[in-house]
Amino acid sequence: MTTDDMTPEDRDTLHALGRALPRVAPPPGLGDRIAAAAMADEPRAQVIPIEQARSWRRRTVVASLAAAACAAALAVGITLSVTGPAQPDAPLTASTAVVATQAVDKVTGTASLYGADGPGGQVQVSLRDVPAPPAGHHYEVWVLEKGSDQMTSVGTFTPASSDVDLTLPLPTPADYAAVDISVEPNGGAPAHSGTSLAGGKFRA
Amino acid sequence: MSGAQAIAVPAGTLARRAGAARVYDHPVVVDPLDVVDPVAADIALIRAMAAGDQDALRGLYDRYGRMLHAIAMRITGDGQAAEECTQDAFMAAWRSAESFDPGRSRPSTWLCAIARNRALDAARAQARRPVPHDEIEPDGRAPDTADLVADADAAVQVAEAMAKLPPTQLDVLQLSYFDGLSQSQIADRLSLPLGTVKSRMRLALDRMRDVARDLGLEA
Repeated sequence: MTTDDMTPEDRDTLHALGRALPRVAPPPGLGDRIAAAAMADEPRAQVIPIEQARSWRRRTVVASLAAAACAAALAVGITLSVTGPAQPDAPLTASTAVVATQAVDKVTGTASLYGADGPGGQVQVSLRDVPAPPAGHHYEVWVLEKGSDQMTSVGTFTPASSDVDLTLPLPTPADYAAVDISVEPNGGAPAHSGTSLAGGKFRA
Repeated sequence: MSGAQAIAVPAGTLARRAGAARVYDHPVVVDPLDVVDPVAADIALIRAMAAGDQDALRGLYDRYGRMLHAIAMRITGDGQAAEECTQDAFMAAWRSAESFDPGRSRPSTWLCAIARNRALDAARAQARRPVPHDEIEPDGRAPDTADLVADADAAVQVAEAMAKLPPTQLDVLQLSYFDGLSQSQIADRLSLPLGTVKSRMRLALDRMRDVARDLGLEA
């Protein structure tokens, strides 16, 4: 190790720690070999019988239409039923781990883009340990296109439990860089509140 | 989540979404490495792995690969064996991510224990092989198993202490500790001001100095 920019005390500390934990780097490419081994590993994704998957999708569509109808008829809030995390048909474009923005929150999860570079693309967001929003607030999902400094809203939700699974349509075919879940006041301005619950950057 | 979920959408949401796209001029986007709580970030990665996300496995390797390899190196004393143990440990984590329970152990504890046990198994397997005469200790004993376990536990304790550092400090420390980079080189590698690297290194070393003292590692 190059220690010419360290104090003697720092060097002593590193030397002492090295007695227990060797200061050796793994060989180059080990991470790639592990990733390749995982890729070759048996797929672990949940397999849903084709008829069941079709049934789930049909229920989602029906529920969405019903919700839209309610929205047109009522000036108050609506309830939209969303099924569990059935995988979209389009190919996976990118995914990311989603983590809490504030240290006090423990939200974790994933966000995956499906068919994001074409029409009908979707973002699937699965969150765990989601706290109830503050009174009079809800959550909103946003995406950020690569090269852009503006996020676009893709949907809002108020969690019924601490686990949330959403599949939302993307606004346009694009190369998306990130996802963000914000805390928004009910009936507030359309702009992002500036307060985020969680987020993550996509990796292809 | 189990089953369907009711989602209440505030009035007017659909109308807003059907109109012009909502935009925000100051995106609030977090990177797992910027998160203050490294445990939450690790749990997120493990849960993503459980969902089959290979990027999450790579993310976990980026954070823990050096530490787990060093643990295996300390126990086996052999580069090839350490490499195999590291790969075995990450594959075991990949395959058993679904069973990880954050209520029972920290992610770093879980990962270090996997690597430790793999390496101890490898070391014991090595010990069962015929030992060349010049490797037998003066009193005729092979290396002591109790010593091996004590060494393993010390290595794990240091690694776990490192894992408790904020990710930004851990990044800097690992590039120095394992990769041998100077602070200037780290600044270049991470595209950070040198002053930022130095302050993160200072904070990391202050904490790790206490660890070395507590473990009796100081001369």
